[in-house]
Amino acid sequence: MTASATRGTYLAEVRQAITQALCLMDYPSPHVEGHNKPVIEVEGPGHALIAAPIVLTRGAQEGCLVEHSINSSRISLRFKAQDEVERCIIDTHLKFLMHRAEDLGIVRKIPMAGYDVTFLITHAHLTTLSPGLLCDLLVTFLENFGTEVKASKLMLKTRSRIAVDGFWGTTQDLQAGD
Amino acid sequence: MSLRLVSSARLDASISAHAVSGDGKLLAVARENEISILDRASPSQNWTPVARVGPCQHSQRVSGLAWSGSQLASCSHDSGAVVWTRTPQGAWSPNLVVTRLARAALCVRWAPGGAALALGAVDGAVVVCHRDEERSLWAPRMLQRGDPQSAAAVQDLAWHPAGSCLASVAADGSLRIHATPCRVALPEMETGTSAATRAQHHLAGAGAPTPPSTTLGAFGTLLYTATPSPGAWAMSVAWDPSGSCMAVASSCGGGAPPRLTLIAGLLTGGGACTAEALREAGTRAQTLDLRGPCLGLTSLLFLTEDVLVGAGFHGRPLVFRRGADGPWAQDCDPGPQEDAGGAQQPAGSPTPARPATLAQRIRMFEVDENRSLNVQGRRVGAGGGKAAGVGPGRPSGPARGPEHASHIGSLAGLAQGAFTSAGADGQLLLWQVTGVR
Repeated sequence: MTASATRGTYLAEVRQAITQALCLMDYPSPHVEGHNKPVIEVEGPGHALIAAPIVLTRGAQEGCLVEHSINSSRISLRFKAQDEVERCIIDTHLKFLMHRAEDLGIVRKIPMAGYDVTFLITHAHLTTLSPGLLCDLLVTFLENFGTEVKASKLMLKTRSRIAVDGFWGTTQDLQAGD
Repeated sequence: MSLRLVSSARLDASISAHAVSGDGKLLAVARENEISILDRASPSQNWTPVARVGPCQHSQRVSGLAWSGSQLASCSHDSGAVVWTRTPQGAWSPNLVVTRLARAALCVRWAPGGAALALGAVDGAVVVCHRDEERSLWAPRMLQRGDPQSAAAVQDLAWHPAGSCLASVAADGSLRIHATPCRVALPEMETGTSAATRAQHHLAGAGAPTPPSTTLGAFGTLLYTATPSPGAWAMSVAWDPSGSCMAVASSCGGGAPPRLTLIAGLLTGGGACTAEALREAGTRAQTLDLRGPCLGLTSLLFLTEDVLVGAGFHGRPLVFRRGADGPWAQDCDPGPQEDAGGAQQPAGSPTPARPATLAQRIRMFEVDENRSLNVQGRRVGAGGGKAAGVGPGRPSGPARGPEHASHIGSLAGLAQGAFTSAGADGQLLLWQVTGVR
C-alpha cells in the first residue's frame, strides 16, 4: 500500500471517529444544580457516560486520540516531525493556537499528555457550529498541517540563507575595503 | 412508502424542544428559556405566532414541552416546570408545578387525558404530578428517587395509552416501567373491539370509573426493568397507539452500535398491560441494528401501530415499518448519500475553493446569525433542494439536502402520516410519510 493510500485510510478513519464523537447531547450536571460541565473533563475514564477512547496511529509519531462522552468530546492530535526544526515549528504554531483558545472556542489550552494539540468540543459549540462542517475543519486541519509545517521550514531556511548571504557579503565588502 | 419534506422554517436560535397539540392547531417551540406559541385555524394554514412566554418562569434552558388539549407543560434545567393554560382573553397563564426535583428536568409527558404529568430529571428522579384544585397547583408524587452518583439520567418518558404504567429510559441504558394506576377509565367496549379503538377512547377520556387493577400493583411498583442494548445509552422510548408495542432507541455510546429495540405483545387478552405480559414480551424483543449513515436515534414517534419514525444525530428522520408477519424493518432511503468525507456532495459538484484568510476559515463554520423568524416557511420542491434560510455568511460549498444540519432534538406527530422535526440548527421541518392511512 502506497504512502498516499495509507494516509487516505488514516484520514478516513479519523473522520469516521470524529463524526461519531460529535454526537453530543445537552446533559446538565447531576452533581451541582444549575451547572453544565463537560463530562469528559469532569468524570474519569471508565464512567458510564464516557465511551471507550479510540486511538488511531499512522507510524510511531503520528496519531489521533478521540474521547467521547455524552455531552463533550476531546480530539487530540500528534504530528510527525522529521527533525528538531520541524518540532520547533510545530510547537510554535500550536502554542499560537492554544494561547488564543478562548477566541477559537474549541481548542483546549493544554493538550493531553503525549499529544501536540487537543480540541474540546461540547454540546454548546454544536448549537452554533454544524457537526459536519466541524468534522471537515478538523480533518482539513490534520491533512494540511504537515504541508504548512514544511512550507514554514522551507521559508525559515530561505530566510536563513538570505541572512547568511547578506552577512557574508558585508564581511567580504569590509575585507575588500581594507 | 417514502419520506418527503413538505415545508421548512428557520428560527433565529437553536431549538431545544417543540410540541404540537393533538388537534394540530397549536405549536410550541422553545429556544433557551423562551417558549413561542403559534396557532392556526386549520391544518391547511400556516402557524402564526400568538404568544411568547417563559423568561419569567424559567431561568435556564427549556428542555421539554408537551401538550394536553390546550394545556402546555414545560420543564427546564432549573428543575422547575410550568403548566400554561389559555385564558378566555387569549393570554397564557402559568400554573405552578411543585416538582421536588433537586436537579435539572430533562423531559415532561402528559398522561392520557391530562390527569397527570410526569417529569424526568438528570439525577434519575421521576415525578408524577396531579392537579390539586384546592391549592391551584400541581402536586408531586415521587415515582423514582434520584441518585446523582449514578449515571441514570432519565432521557425520556412514555405513558402507556391507558395510563396504567409509565416507561422511562436512562442514560445508563436501562428501561424501567412503573405502575401508575390512573384515574382515566377503561370504557365498556364490545367484545372484538380492536386495541387501537380502545386506546383512542382512552385518549378521549370517555368511560366509567376504573376498576381497581390488582395485577399492576400500587403506585410506583416497578413492573419491568431491562437493558435493551448493553453498553449503549438509551435515549428514547415510545408506545404505539394501542399500547401493545414499545420501542426503545439506543445511541452509539460506549462503543455499541446504534440500535432500536422493539417489544411487542404487551397487552393481554383483556387489553391490559400487566407485569407478566411485560416480562414475557421482554424475552421476545426484536433488536434492529440501524443501517445506513445513522449515528443513533434520540427521538421516537409512532405515527400508527405499524409505522415508527426515529430521528437523532443523523440529519434526516428514519422510518420503520412493521410487516404483515410481525417483524419490524427499516424503511425508506437514508437520505442523500454521503461521500467518505462525511459531507453531502451532489453528483458532479466541484470541491469549493479553500478560503485564504484565517477569518474566512473561521466564519465558514459558523451559522449565520442574521436570520429572521419565518414561521410561514416555504414549500420545498419534490426533489428537495437547499434548506431554507441559508444566509450570506455560509460558504458556497456543496448544497445540503432537505434535512437538518445538526442534531434533531424532538419530533411531534400530526395527522395522516405527517410530523415535524426540530433541531439544534434552528430548523423546523414538516415531513410527510406517504402511504400512511
